[in-house]
Amino acid sequence: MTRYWERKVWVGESPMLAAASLLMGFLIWEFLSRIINSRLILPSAFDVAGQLITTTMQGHLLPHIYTSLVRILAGFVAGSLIGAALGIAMGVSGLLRALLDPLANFFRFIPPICWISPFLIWFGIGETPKVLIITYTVTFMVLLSTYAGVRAIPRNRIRAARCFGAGPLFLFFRVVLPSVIRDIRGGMRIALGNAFATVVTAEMIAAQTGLGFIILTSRNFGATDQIILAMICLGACGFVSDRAFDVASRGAFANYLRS
Amino acid sequence: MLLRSKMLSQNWMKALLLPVPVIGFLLLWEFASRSFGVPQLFPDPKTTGQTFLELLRSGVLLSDAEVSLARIAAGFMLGSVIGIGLGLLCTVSWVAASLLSPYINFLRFISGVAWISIFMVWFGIGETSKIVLIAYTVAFTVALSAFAGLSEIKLAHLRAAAMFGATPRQVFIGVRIPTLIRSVITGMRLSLGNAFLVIVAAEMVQADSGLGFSIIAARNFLAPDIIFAVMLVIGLLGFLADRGFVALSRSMLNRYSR
Repeated sequence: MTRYWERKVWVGESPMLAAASLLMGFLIWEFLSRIINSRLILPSAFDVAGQLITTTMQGHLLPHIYTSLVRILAGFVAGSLIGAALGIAMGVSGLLRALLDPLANFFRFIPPICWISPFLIWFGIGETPKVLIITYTVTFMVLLSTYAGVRAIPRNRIRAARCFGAGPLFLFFRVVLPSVIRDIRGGMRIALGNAFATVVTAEMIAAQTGLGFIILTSRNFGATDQIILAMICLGACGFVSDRAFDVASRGAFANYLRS
Repeated sequence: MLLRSKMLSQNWMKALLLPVPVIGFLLLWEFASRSFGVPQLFPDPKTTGQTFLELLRSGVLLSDAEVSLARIAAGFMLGSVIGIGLGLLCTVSWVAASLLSPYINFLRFISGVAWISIFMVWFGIGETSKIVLIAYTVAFTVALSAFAGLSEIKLAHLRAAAMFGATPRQVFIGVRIPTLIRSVITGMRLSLGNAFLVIVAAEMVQADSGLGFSIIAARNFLAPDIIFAVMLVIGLLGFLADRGFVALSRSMLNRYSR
């Protein structure tokens, strides 16, 4: 028998309970929709589930999911690269830190949604501005976490490497870089979630396809069921991507993630 | 480089060099604006500055900022209370945590922006829907970090408390809650930034006042200088709110922040 102080330090989520909870949520939703009885306010759960199946079968849904995912991936990769590079640069060099820190701290408080009009004017209505909006969000997340990671490298680790005669290049590639991989990965994982959240904003820029496009335009037709459908797809894709990123990055960088 | 990082010299360098990035950024902006060629579409820093001062003097900017800030404050408080409540619930009961986790893992990827239309249908086009929207975003972020904070509670701490004869109630108040406070504060800080994001989005979609509204109005009149001026205000307000929150939470809850 476990004593009360050991009981559930942290619950590894119970999958059975989680599944039961989802089922319960679905039934409550259906129940509420029957009481409210208005497709505009809350469409029936079975209706939305049915539509999910039919639209997928007819091939209307997958192209939207695909375009959104491509935008997210492009912005995520670009933003991670820029963020990690700038974060390491700021962490290593005091000069760059002094130069970039004020700018980073200013721009990170300007929400990506503010940029949709300027980006539309500057980059047109193609893919570029949409991907850039996502890149913008991802960059700051990864930058801050990488920067904090470099600053947190134990001084003695660097001193030890120096003692053994490590030059600046060796120090950078063999000590600094491996030490911050954990933080870059952590920042990227949060940023991936934010990229999914931002795609709706990005698709405010004259999009013709994408899950965000469905969410934004369905409003004009009062098609709440379409909005919920797209939101479910977005959440599911986000969940799967998050898990995939976690597993893949843990496998790829296993050497650097041991504590 | 890495080795001689004395805090004092660092701060001095930062203060001395502060004008460099600011001036450099302004020059870059000026250059980009000139090379873009259409000043009506890409205003230079000077025009933006003039517009900013003009808007500030006429009081439009201040009243818009006031409206947005009031919405953020209401939504932030409501959301924090709900988020902390959910976090506490999950600390007390692992059944509640298991029941909530699929929704938290799922809704994490759906931003408030996606909810705007639905909340408008549910709560009308007035203040309620905007405050609920912010509360949703904030509650979510706070609950998520409280969730993450649960895993930081150390078994050793719980055992130590138990060894000194602490009752479950004392363990809860003396060990679990203090551990949770730190992550809740982090979550609240993050969500404050998100609140700015969401209120701008909500006001862009449906409002007749507020900072987001003035961005969309400026867009419809094709006045990018106003957009830039408002962005400047949002950036400054966000920055000040963040620093204010950090200072406040430090002075009040310093002993929990290690």
